Amino acid sequence: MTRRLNLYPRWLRAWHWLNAVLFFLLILTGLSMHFSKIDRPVVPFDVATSIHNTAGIALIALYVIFLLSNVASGNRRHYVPARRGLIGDVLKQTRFYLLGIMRGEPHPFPATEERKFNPLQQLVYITVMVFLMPVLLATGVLLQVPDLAPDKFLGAGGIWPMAVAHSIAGFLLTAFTVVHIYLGTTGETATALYRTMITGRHEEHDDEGLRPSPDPLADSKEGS
Amino acid sequence: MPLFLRALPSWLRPMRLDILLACILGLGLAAPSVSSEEAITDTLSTLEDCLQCHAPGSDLTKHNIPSDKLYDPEKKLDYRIDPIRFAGSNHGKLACRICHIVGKEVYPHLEGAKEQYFDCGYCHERQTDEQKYDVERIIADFEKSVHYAKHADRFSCYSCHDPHVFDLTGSEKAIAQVVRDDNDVCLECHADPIDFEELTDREFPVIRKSHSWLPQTELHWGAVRCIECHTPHTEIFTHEILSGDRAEKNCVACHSTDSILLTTLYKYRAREERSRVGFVNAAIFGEAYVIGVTRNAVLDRWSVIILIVLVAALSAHGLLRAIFARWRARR
Repeated sequence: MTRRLNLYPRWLRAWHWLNAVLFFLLILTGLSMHFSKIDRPVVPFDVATSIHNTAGIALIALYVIFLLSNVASGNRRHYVPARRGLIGDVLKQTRFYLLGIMRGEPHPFPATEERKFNPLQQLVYITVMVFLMPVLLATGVLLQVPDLAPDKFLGAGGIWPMAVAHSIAGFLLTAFTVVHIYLGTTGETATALYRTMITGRHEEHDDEGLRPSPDPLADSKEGS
Repeated sequence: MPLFLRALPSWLRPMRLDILLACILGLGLAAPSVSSEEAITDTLSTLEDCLQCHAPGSDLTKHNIPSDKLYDPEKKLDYRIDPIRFAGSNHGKLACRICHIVGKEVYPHLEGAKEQYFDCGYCHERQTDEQKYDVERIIADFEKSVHYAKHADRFSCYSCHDPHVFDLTGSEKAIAQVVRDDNDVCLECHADPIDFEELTDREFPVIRKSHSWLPQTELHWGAVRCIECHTPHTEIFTHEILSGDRAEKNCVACHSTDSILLTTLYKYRAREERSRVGFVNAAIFGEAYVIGVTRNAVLDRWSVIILIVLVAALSAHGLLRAIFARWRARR
């Protein structure tokens, strides 16, 4: 028997995809500016600057909306990992991604209305949203309004620590995005989780967790 | 004829050396011609001698000299010299009489002394090789500049290079100070409608408006010199000042690892600080962060390596998933 769960409300899906578009623009323009070459512009510098600054401001607005909506809707509880047995649960999920998924073992923590994310997801998402995003956004603001930064820091220009922190946070979030996109293919089929993030509906089978992990190269209809 | 020579009265040009010699000798023999309670020095041999009258705040009336001889705002006369700024200038160690011909008398000075001074090339063409300026090239460049093209009769070296103040960019000054000093030269006319109107009938351009295309305008103005964009990029600095429509507007000219700033504003630092470990363009890193120019090479290298390894690992993982899934399906 198949049950359909509405795991992701409309506001959350809108936030997710807007966030994805902004991330794409920010990574592309950020890399283009950081590695700019006079003879090989990926994106013209002035265009890249305008897009990066505008998308950055939009990301701040979106982050505030995300925080407020999570508080208002109670969705924040899904991001808070259980304190007891967290390390064991994270190791169990990691082992699944490295080994169990190859053997066709069931997902150790299938999505439910009570717990949408597995412990590894919870740990990563909370790190991203509570630590990395504020660092990225705050340093981005300081780079846009450098008057707020100190003139000097350890004998060098005061803006460079902000720039280095912004680069590191940007790099870690880029790495997260790459992994996030890949793990999106580890649902019941290679595209099932993407469809869930579009429609909001998650299909749950009675034998959920017992189904083999999908072939990521197989056609989505074949696997469903 | 070089522009500098044109600035001199015609009668002075062929006999400058004679006059200089006569002047120096004359000064040595000169006696004070003013009688006052507080007599001024007998001769004008040193800077201090001249500053008795020419320092700001000097009371000329004590020497029976009318005060408007030194400063008259209505006639826009100002013969006061700030001793501190002068001492900090490139000419700070020179006695006034090296350039100025004042005659035998301490006061009144030689008739027409205000207009008589030696031009830049007179000294600068005669310096040692290390300090020598290619004055002919400088003049040729200047004659291509927007200032010469529009106001040849009103511009000379002194229009921008006040010899009592000018301090050529060197390795000793902080970059921020270099930027401030050099931009002040431009802003003296370009930010002051009164000075601007004296030069041209053109409508005073509001530079904030004409630079509105430049992101972080204030930050740029505080961090780079006007001439960074308003001169062509040449190996040796050129005096060809470009008008707004010909000035550099390609951001990447500065915002790249091969930034032109390394050969202009930061050229002294670039030579000295190339060895600083870990940072691309360490010379600029020490002063400011310039996106595209200052980067941590170690951080960049490892970021790229980690991302490549990550993508490779995920691709391998996906491939293995596919192989195992098909293997399971066959069984």
